[in-house]
Amino acid sequence: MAYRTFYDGYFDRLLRYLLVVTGGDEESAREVLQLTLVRVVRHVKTFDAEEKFWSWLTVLARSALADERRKRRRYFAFLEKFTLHTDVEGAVWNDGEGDEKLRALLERNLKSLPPDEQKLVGQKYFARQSVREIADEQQTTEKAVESKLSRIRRRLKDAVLAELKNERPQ
Amino acid sequence: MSDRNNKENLLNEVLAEASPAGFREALLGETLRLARRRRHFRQTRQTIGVLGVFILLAILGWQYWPQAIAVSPPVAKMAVPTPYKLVRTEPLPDNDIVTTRSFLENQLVASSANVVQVETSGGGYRQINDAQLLALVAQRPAVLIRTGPHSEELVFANPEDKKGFPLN
Repeated sequence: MAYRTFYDGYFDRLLRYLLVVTGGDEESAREVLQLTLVRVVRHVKTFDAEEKFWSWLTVLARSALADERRKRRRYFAFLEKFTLHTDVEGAVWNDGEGDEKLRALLERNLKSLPPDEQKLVGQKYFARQSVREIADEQQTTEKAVESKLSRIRRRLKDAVLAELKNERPQ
Repeated sequence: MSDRNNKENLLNEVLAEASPAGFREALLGETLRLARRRRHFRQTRQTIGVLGVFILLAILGWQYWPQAIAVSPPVAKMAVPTPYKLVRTEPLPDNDIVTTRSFLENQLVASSANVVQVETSGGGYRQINDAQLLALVAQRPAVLIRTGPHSEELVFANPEDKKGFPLN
């Protein structure tokens, strides 16, 4: 099905983009992602190039974010107008910049991990070893490896999002 | 798999960590439902549009159909009685026209008024039967002789009476 193909191809990419645009606000990013996908369904059209399609998606995402913020802060209309202007104007990331930023943050935080955790992440995501192989090598259980990987991912996520919140787009 | 893809995969898993359970599938289901509803709405709208066009055409056809029937000549003309009689006239050919003209004076013939006009009046007689006839000639001897089923002859004894005689 065409929509499922689109969804599988763009869900993570849009979420990453929105995490950057919202400055690491995961809750907002998810809500805006929902709004964006609804708008995609309502207004979908044909594009002759993938870049144009992605550009259109980011426009939808930013307008959905603006609407969501307007809804949330309706009691501070004037302030909202001012901050929304600065936020959205500043948040006109293109996809490359957003993803590059996320990758840079991830790499920086990966390097700050203890050596054993860096090794574990390397085995799983860069050496493409299975959890079972890692568990055998470390003489532990698969569940223990999964649990450790989950804790590492969670710490990395918190660190990346925290840094996004502290940074403003250039 | 390239290093870039590996990092992207790691990034996705890191960002998906501790996310609400089933968020991805729930959102997919919700948007799919919305997409189906919109598709159904579009199809319904198209169907209604086509039906509307057909209804419009049917109404127009219904309005103009009687006029089309009236144009088709023989049956309709005979079926509808008209309150008038149509008479077509056309000028006569010249050789069918009779004209009069006054005579010249030398062609006039005058008649003299020496003619006596005689008028006769009808009636004045009546049919009589045998007895009345005999009573009428009672003063003169005569007999009535039947000569046939419908014929009789009056014979006077005095031949002079045959010529006529005055009645009192």
